[in-house]
Amino acid sequence: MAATAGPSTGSGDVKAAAVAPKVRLQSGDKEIFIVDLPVAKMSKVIKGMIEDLAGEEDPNWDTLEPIPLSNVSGPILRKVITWMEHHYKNDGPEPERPEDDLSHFTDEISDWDEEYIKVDQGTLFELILASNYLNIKKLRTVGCKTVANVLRKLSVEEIREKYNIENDFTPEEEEAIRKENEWCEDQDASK
Amino acid sequence: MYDACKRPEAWKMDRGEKRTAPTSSTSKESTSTSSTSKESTSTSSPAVSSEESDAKRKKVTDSHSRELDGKVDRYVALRDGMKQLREFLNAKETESEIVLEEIQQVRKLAAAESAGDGGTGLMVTLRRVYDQLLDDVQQQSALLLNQKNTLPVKAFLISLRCAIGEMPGEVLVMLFHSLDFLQRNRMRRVCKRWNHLLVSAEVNREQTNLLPTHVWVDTETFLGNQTMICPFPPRRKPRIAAWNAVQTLTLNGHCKELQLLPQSVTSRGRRASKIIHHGSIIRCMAQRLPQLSHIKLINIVMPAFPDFKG
Repeated sequence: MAATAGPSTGSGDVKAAAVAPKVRLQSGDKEIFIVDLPVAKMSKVIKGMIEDLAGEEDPNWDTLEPIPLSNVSGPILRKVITWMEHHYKNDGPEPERPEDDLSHFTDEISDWDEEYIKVDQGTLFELILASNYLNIKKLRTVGCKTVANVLRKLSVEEIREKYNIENDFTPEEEEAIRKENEWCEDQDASK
Repeated sequence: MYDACKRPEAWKMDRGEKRTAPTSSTSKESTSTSSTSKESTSTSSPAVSSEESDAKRKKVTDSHSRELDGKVDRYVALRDGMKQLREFLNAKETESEIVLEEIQQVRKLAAAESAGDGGTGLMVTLRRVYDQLLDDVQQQSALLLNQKNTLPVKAFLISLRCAIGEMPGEVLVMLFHSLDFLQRNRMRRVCKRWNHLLVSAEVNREQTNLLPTHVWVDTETFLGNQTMICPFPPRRKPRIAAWNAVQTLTLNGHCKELQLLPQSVTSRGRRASKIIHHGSIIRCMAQRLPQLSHIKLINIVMPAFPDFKG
């Protein structure tokens, strides 16, 4: 099944639209997505794969095999591509950052991202996993921040219940951690 | 639950004897009693009319009886058919439960082999099962046919949910980075894995600009009994600290001695040194981390500053 993931380039980016080659991405359930090369390169993993496939010479993109992304399902890949296209159009390529640069964790979630990430819990986790697999840091950060925003509103028991996490502490172990944190629990105004 | 084995005729008979006694044999008795009383007062003509009425009543009763028999037969046949269907469905339910159990086992095996991935890579395949189970739950009739199937269905639905607890450690670490210090402490109590991730050096790697902009904190040595705060000059790329010293000191309670060292770095082959007044550092720490106000920082042992003149 072949599909495109919506408008591939912005109306203002006429030049890019005219020259941008397209790559085909294949999801885990064999769905094919045709995406602009610069957009696809927002994923470090896809970028690496493209470079490996293309080699040094400029390849014929139409004849290249689809890039297999076996760990990402079709619906999730479609959503990820939507995100990449929007951010490529509006923000440009993601700036290179050193691996240990965590400054982007202080970034606020934009209104568009906030709306984009309003999905059910399962989809949200799959988006985070997909962005982690595809190495799209900004999307991963948006997902993590969204989950963190939920987590900070819940008590420990509520987190266990909501996310189906088994309490595998012995009562003694739990009490020990509670005592360690006793000094700061009063000040944890969030819960 | 309705007992399908109990035949409706018997049920009717039981109820009929108690509630509608005069309809059949008893009615005959009462008729005969009334006719006897009539006989004692009148002659043969009333006896003839009585026979006629008996015949008429019998005809009506037979007609109803035949109609009733037909309906009862049909009802019994329907119930028999349903019983057979139920047995067939029960067998299929049992078979599907076994297959579901096998799917669970394969998924657990895959999760174990993929080292903490939680089998999330199989979600695409498992989604079909998920959709089917959702469909089963939505169809109330499916649940009514076999109530016991609801439990494995619900449990399996929960287990299929891409749970946060099954996310790779690296993703959870990033998630924890979005929480503040106090919230992260709270998360330690959720489960052993989270606790391990939160206290491990990996999750706690963060840039900590605890002190004024030109000072960075290195708490790499916090695991020992000594915590070192090493201020670095602004041009040097700050080291990624484990936790900041004061948080670690307070949280773990292992640190018995806090050592403040003056700035001492090598820059372009020359060692530069600058004494930073430790009193101002402590004041600054107290301001930035008010939750530590209960710690008597003033009592922390501080050795004499080393001599960097040489």
